[in-house]
Amino acid sequence: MLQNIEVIEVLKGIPFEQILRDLFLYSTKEPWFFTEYSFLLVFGVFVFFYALLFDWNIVRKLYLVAFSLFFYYKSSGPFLALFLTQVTCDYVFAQWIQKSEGFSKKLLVTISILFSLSFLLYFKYANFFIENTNLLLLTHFEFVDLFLPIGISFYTFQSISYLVDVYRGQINASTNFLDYAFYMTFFPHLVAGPIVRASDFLGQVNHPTRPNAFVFKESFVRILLGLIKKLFIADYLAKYVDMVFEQPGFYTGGENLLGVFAYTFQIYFDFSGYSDIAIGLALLVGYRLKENFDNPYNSTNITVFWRKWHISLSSWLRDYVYIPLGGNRKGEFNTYLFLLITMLIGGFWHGASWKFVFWGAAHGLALGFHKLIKNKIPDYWLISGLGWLSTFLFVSFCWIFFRAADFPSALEIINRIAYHSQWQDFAGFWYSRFEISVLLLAVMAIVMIPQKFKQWSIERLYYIPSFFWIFFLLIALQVIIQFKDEVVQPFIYFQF
Amino acid sequence: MKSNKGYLAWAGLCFVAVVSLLFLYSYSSETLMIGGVELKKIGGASIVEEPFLDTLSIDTSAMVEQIPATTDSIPETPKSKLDTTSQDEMFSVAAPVLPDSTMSDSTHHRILLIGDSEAGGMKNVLNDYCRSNGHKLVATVEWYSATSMNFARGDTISKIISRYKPTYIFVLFGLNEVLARDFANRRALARMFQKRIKHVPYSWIGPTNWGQDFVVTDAFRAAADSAAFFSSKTMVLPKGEDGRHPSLNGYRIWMSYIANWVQTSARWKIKMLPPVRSGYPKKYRTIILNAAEYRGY
Repeated sequence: MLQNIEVIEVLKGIPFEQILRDLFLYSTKEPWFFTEYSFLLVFGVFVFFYALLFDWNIVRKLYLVAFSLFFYYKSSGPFLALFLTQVTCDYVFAQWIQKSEGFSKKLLVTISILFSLSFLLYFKYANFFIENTNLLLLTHFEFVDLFLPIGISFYTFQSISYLVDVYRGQINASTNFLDYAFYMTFFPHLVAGPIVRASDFLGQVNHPTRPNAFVFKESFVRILLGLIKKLFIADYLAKYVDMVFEQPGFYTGGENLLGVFAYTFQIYFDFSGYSDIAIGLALLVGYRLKENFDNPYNSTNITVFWRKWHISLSSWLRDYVYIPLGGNRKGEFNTYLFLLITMLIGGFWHGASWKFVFWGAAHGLALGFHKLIKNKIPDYWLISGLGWLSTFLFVSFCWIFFRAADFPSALEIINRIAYHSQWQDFAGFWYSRFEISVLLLAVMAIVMIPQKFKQWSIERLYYIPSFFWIFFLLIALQVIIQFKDEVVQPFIYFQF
Repeated sequence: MKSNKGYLAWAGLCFVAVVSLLFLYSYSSETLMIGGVELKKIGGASIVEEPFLDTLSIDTSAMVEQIPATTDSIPETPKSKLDTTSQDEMFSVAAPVLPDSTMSDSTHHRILLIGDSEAGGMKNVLNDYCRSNGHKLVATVEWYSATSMNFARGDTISKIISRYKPTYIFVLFGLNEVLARDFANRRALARMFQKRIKHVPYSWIGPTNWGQDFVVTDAFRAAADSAAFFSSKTMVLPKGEDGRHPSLNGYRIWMSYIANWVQTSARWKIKMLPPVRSGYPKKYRTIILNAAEYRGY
């Protein structure tokens, strides 16, 4: 009886109206991420009814598209209209491209790509162009007050790949608008990738993997691992990273160096955590997305790194920028030039700032340099070890420009590391920031463990019956609550 | 492998059940412990400093019934009605709202410190006392340049109390209004503020004043349960470099008097023995506000 009264007291204290408002209305302060508990709750309800509708193909597709649009509305609010406009126009453009021939086909694909890019250019780069025009021409154009629609960089690249593939004849334009809308709006990849190719996904739309115990457990593992990577590891590292990058002058060289390493791991665990959740959610509803990361910090050279880091973007850049430019078919010098141009575009895609361009240029030059010397490097374990170390340090170095607020901040960090580092810094760091030290060592160890061993370990879990996985979910979420910061950091790649 | 839609439905139920359970727990006043470790609640973590805006988004809905709507604005009091109050009224005692604790208890409290810049100076010293005595300082509110107007008129404090669910509150503000002479207004504001905290045991510490306090200490004492009010009016403390706040040593001396009073004479006594050491880990949340940017009403 007493317990019943207590439960009633708890229920009376719950502001149901507020909760419903939070669940169903868009809030600029709290856009929906996969890490929001309200999302996980609504997703659970969605999946339950999805199971009931699973065998009615059209109803199931409509239901999933509706949920995806609701998800985008909760993430971006009114920009849903812009997104729907782009989806509809691309669908129509693809039909026209398929039906036309010769010059008109080329013209149509050019117009459609420019149309897709125009939204991205306007929302993401307008102020960058205004700023640089003012700087160069001493004009006084005012900045435009713009809010970047979430996911625009990802879905723009996705629609470009679809239009180009139709143009090249690699795929047929979708004749079913619902199927195309399903592909474009599919919520797991909608706001921060992976960039899914139509050739990989459209074929799955009407033939989802039927639910079974293995799919259930695999998707749960991916979702839980992703949540832990993001909310436990990346967000914990973010606390230290933010401190150092905000005021690098306040910290010793050693602390700055460890701040750079912490960011190196933060961005990996943040984005790969997001990708894991996206892959897990997609798998749960019957669709398999391609892997986006493959233990990239294990790479022994920069070329391999880019085959393992943000695979969907790097392969997109390869297929739609590097190879169309000429790839390695137009001489040695041009190969290096095309690599540089490709990586400059990759850098610029990440943000409208010269620091991203610099980051891209550094990687482009490194890729060119590796291409130049790769045939002269002996295949020897010591050289591989040195290759791993130099790749890791180079990538970490480049992240400084990626994360720092601006160039002067980045240079200050480098200056602190180069001229104000002492061995005592590390001992001091160990004693004063014990938790971060342990976490850094742990994530380094995680990164170094071969993928095969990790996979083998995870597969042992699949022997546990499906019923008990609810406890895994409960334990994982409670562990995250125990350690996570009050303010969840948005996914780093949401801003791109 | 055999396919079965039941797996999909079970997955959905897992998410709904687990997240609902965690939400329900977050609204429960009970705190579960496992092996001496407190199970935290959704949105109930954590450590470092919180951005100003986040404070404003704290959910207040749970407080709707507890805070009378009238406390959200100052009653329009005609000037003629502002009395010149006799000494008797100045020291009147507010009606007790919670049962007396007649002896110092050994409960481990969740403590909230609310105040102005002096709270900022006091927080680490208080944290040492709390940690040493088994309490948990859950959060501190440092509202720079704030007066009783800020604390009383807006619902920021109610939101914060609703959010952190303290079992004991320390109040420490008034330094920014020691030169005020409008006793009745200050008392009205202090009463308004007292209504916001009265459902939780509290100790209200008067401001240091460096000999310049005209009415503030008396007005606050009149609004608070008098036995829950600690006057710092006659205290002589070492000053800090700015000449306006106590030095670190000053805060320590001040806290030692407060702690002694809290466990021997206060209206709601709690264990507050001198700390066995200083510099405990600072695992409380600091909410920093600035009255120049955020009035709170």
